[in-house]
Amino acid sequence: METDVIIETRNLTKTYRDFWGRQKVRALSALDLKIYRGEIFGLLGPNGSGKTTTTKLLLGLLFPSSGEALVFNNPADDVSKNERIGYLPEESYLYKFLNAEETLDFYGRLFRLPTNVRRQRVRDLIEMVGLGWAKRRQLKEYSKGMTRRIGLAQALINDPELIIMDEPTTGLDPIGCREMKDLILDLKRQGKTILMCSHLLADVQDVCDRIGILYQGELKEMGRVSDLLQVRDVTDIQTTKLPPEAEAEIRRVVERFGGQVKSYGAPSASLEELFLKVVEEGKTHPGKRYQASEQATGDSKPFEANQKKEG
Amino acid sequence: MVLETQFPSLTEWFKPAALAWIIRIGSFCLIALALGFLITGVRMGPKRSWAIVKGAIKNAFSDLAHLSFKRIFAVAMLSFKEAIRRKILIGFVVFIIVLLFAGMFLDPSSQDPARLYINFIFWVNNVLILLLALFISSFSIPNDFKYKTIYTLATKPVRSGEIVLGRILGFTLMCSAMLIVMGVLSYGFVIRSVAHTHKLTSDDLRYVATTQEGAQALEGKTSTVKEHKHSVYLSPEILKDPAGKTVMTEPTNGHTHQITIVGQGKDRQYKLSGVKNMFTARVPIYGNLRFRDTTNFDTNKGINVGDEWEYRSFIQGNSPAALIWLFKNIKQSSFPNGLPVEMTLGVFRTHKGNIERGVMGGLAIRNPDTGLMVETHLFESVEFNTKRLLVPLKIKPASRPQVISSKTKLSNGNVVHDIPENKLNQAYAQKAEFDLFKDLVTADGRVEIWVRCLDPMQYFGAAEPDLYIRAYDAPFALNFVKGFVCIWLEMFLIIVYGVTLSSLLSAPIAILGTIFIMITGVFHNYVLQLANGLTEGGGVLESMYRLLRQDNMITELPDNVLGDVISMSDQVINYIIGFVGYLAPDMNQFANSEYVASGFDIPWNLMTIDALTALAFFIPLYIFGYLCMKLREIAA
Repeated sequence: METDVIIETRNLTKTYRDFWGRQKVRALSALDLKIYRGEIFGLLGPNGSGKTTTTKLLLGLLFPSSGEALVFNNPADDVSKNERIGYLPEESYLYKFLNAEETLDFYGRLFRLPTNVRRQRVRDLIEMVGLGWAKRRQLKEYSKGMTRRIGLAQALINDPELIIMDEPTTGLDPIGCREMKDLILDLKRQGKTILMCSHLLADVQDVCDRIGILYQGELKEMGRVSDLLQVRDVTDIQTTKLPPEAEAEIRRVVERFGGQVKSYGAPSASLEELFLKVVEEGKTHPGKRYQASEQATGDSKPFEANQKKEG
Repeated sequence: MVLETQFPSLTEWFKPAALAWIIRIGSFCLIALALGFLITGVRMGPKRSWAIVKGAIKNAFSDLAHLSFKRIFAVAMLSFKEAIRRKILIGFVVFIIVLLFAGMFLDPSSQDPARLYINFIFWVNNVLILLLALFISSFSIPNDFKYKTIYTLATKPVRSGEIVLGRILGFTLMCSAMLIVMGVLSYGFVIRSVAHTHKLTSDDLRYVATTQEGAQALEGKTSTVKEHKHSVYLSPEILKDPAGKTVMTEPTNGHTHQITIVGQGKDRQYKLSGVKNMFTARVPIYGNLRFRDTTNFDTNKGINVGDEWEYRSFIQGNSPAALIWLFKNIKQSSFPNGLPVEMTLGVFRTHKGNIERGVMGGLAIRNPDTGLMVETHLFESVEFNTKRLLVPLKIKPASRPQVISSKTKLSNGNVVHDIPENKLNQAYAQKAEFDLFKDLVTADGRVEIWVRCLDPMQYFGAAEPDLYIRAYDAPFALNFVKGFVCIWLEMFLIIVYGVTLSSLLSAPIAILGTIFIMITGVFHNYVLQLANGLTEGGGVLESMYRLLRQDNMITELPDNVLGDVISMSDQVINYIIGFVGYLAPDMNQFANSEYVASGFDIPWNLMTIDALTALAFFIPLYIFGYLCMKLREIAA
């Protein structure tokens, strides 16, 4: 399985120093990490915990103070690894004077893609990120969300095996967020390996297979999301809506088995789901106000529980 | 045209220059690596730094092998678009405005309008394109870092070397495109600005007597245009059957016009053409100058007449002293009509003499193999006016021919003759008419031109380029293009410096650095003199010490510790100045617009040396830029 290790860091440490070489901040200390082919790995942590430093070290944008970072078994400062990597930075650092087509064409040329492949891919990616209507506009006229989308497209121009994403959902509206998460899952289905770092825990929980939690430059926790989040002494049952008289019956059954019902009632959905529903409703019934209260009273069918987690 | 520093021929220049280059580039690479080691060492400690530098050397060769023109071109096109979309074409608008208003400030009555307009237009182009090149090249890479676009770029499989080279190529393409358009407009501007014609009617001409019995000629002046007019002379031969004939006006302000005579008798009309012979590109063949002193010995220098400018050396009039130019490779096939000789002599008068007339001189041709010398012309010299003489194929001597040898006194007192005295054959001189190529030019094409001053107590002075054989005229437009190629080379160097320095420094510092290097380049010779302690007044601190004490420049330094400290510190400073001096190319070498303005073809030899010099600076600068990018922590 050793060949399936896409990213490996050994004792990776980064210390920022001032001009005179005095230590300012230890941004990352002794990180040992392995990321395998085909998984989505999430690096979590509060601001300044070393997530971005880790990605920059892996991309060769920073040199490690000690330890080593290997990508595809090559040192991180080896340029040729970039042939197989797509990188979506925290903000889309793109040339504002180019338009969407020119941007993708430029990055495509850096991968020496044959002209016909490059053109086709530029068309497909612009289509995929939904910027067909604005492809001739210079990026300086783009909104934040549009810039994010074109940033994503450039990261995929070489059909990479490994995609490194720094805060992929920042700057996107909830629909964009959902699309981004769907896309990440789609990329995983295509067999790609993804490393994303984020402090938006919900996003990470929705898509990641494994996570690592960094705090003050140190790895505090790492493992499979399902394992880490599983609450071992609680059992969760979800059913379709039951009549009120079922409650007493169910409580009795639970007590017979030595358990205790902690809560009973309709589960609350996430705000994200509500938002997506409102927008969907707006599309199908334009001009009509969304009847949120009616649905929340429990008279109509309840929200489907969020079952997005992938094993 | 004054050529103070003689440029060597390409073959003479190449070998020592290439050797010096290899030595310097070797030390340069070592210094670059040491600097890289030092900078990363300060930041990360020596052990880590050494690993990075070692890795960089290894990677450098791998990167070189993987350089992809496709990627370089992609970065170049990006730079091209960046320059255009960042409104660099505003420079172009400035250029047009300058051209539109320039006509108001340039003197139309100038004695030499060609020089005025050409010098002006080259100056404008030079300043504009160099400023543009400076600004666009210095901002690109720092902006990549400032706006972090480098993150996206550097995470693609693009090498540091490709980024630097692509940037240089892109800006060079951009500026070249601008320079081409500006060049075409400039050419049109120069030609259009001096274009004019004059009117000539029968009333402007009057009959004058000639030396021929009963024959009359017509003489007069054209109308005044651009504050000058031309004299016209129609000889009796032309007047016999004037219809359809063409004659040239006398030259004024460096040009003539062609007159076409139309019609007969009272209906006769004169049609004048546009400007002729104003723009030339003479291709001179220069000889080697030596002097013959009043005692008949050859020397390297003539007399100093007290001029501080030691460019020209003088010979005394009415004496055996002569200015002797030896020419090589003069073949009859190249000169079917004789040798066209042009000279601009310095004249030094010890008394005013006949002020109405110039000092008289004689021009003779000597065969260096046989020693036969034949005087072909007696001429009247006017100081600093170009004299044109044609040595015909058949020569009737202007004075008695001689057979003489040329002799030199060696430092040990021995005398050497170029032809032993016993081998001088006076029979060569026994002819009434001589054939230029049979009698006076050797079989291998060597010939000597001797110039003497005939008036007593007057002096002629010359430097080597003051007399030349005008081989042929190259097309002026081509010469104009050559002038622009020299500007292009300067522009290219500025782009290379701008991009290279900006790969290490921030944009404003890179601009300052480039300007500093260019200024050092303009004063290249002085800087090297300073570095080698050849300037009067000593080094920097020594001069400052004297300035502060208000001492004379030749005052000795104090013979104590202070004096020693000053001298030693100056040596260190000189070493640094020397190092900086070699970082900059000699910018004067590229400033060749004077050739175009003076009507001389820019020699291909010089163009090649310039191009090779630019290349010689480009290569180490590129390596330096590459190393800076490579060793730089992009996200730091």
